[in-house]
Amino acid sequence: MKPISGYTILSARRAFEKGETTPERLFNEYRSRIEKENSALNAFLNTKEFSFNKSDKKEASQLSGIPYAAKDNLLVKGTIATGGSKILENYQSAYDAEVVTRLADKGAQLLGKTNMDEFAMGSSGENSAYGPTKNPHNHECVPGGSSAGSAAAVAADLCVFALGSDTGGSIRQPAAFCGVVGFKPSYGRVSRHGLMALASSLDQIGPFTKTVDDTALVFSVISGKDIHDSTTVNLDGSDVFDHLHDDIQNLRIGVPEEYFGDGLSDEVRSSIEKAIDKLIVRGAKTIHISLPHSNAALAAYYIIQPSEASANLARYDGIRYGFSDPSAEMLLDVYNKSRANGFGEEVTRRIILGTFALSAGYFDAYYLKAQRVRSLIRKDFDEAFKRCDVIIGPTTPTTAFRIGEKSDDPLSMYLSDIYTVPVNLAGIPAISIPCTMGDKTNMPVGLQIIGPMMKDEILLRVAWHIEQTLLNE
Amino acid sequence: MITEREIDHLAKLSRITISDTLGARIVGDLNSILKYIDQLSAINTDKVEPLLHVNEIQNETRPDTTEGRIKSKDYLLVGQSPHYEGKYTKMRAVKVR
Repeated sequence: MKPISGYTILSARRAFEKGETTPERLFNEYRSRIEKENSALNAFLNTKEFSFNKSDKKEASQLSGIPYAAKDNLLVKGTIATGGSKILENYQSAYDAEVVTRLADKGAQLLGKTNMDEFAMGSSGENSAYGPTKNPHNHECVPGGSSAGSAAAVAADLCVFALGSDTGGSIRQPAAFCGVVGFKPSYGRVSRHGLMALASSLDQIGPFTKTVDDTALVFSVISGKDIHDSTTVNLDGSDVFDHLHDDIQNLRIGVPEEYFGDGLSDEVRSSIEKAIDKLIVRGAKTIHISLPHSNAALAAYYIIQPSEASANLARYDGIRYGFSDPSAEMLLDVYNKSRANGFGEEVTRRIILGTFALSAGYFDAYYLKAQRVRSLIRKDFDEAFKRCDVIIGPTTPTTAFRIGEKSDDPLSMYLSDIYTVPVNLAGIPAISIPCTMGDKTNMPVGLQIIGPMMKDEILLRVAWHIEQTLLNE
Repeated sequence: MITEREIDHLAKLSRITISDTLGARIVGDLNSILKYIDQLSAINTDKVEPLLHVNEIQNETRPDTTEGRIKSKDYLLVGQSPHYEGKYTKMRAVKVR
């Protein structure tokens, strides 16, 4: 696997130190790159509201002067945040998301906001009200979703790193499709304050980067307790980078049989199996494990996620913010028409599905049942981690599919997240790192590494060693 | 199986007007999704507690003070309403007499 082109956080740091460039010059260079290439990719929705922040009050840090991009469901005070939806077309954020504040405090420079599936519902980037994002490796293919623009922007070197959100795979799946690193931390490690809620028990913010080094650097800044998000845990991740390269002895890799079954394409299978072979050569031990409820996870997910979404999206009512249908005469009309004309089809479909699962007579059979199955999924992982340190498998069953290929068939679209959703249901951390290019499609294959709950530091350390092994071939 | 009549009811509950063509499409999609979801009924969950939260945290309390208050400006709060007057959001009539 070849390294991804362009600056990483560490290489930009070195360039600053050697005087080869300055933060402001680098920022402007990236701005010109975006201006030149965004019309073909549609990765960025908004750059015009953001400029280089000259304030010198910022703390000196590894991230000082590093240009990054943020998914458009993250709030940046006084600037537009659409969440990829027409219903928030002109909505200006009232405050900064906690992750944005933390990055700004360390001197990172925000280049702009990235395109996404509407309210993070989608696996291809095609559900944006502002047009689909293209995959930089092949413009006829999807970049994955829902953090489509963030993944494409990092892959095309339109920023050094980007933020996304992951509810069922929305960081890892597009990272795999675009050939970059994408990390979903344990639920509770990163504050969701200022993130538009999709499914609150599953949502987590994380970085897209070109290397695992950079992932650790970003995580060290954005993680930690936040009084504005009561689900954040009191764990300090600030020194994760300092121990990232520490030696690992006797690594035990769990290989789940369910992740290599029907539906996995031959090229992804062979790419992942070759990667595992390399790790064995380097001294890792593989352990065959079973996650028996893997297939049920996607079914449980498509009850829990739409249910929570149907409640969270009730706030978009045509009254408080964003789009309101001008033809509505009565209050009920305002709700009904603004939501009908403001939401896209996938969002409407999931609100209806969630409303169904929560409605009288169906709650026990669907929502409660799904939460019981969720317990079993968590137990599968708990049992597996008694025998191994990390679990390894493909991030997605195939490489990036073609634009339009699955847009008429929601269920087949949902199936592209089959290896990523169990992780969100269990709340545990997982990362996708680039493997080889698929030998049939010549598109990137992502290797998913899953870690035990709250062991994000260990997961990143293992991921760094695996990345080095794959790069050194 | 969801019927088109049920979609009308769900649309009402969801506060979204749904056209007949969209309704028909959604009925088809939802039924294929529900058919897929039906695999859950084969799993025995008799003695399994529902997982309500992955972090098992208790309700968090703090002293009743205003720490951590988010400061913002009126134009970014009330001013984001499509219709407002001064510091108040305007809305349409709930009922006609």
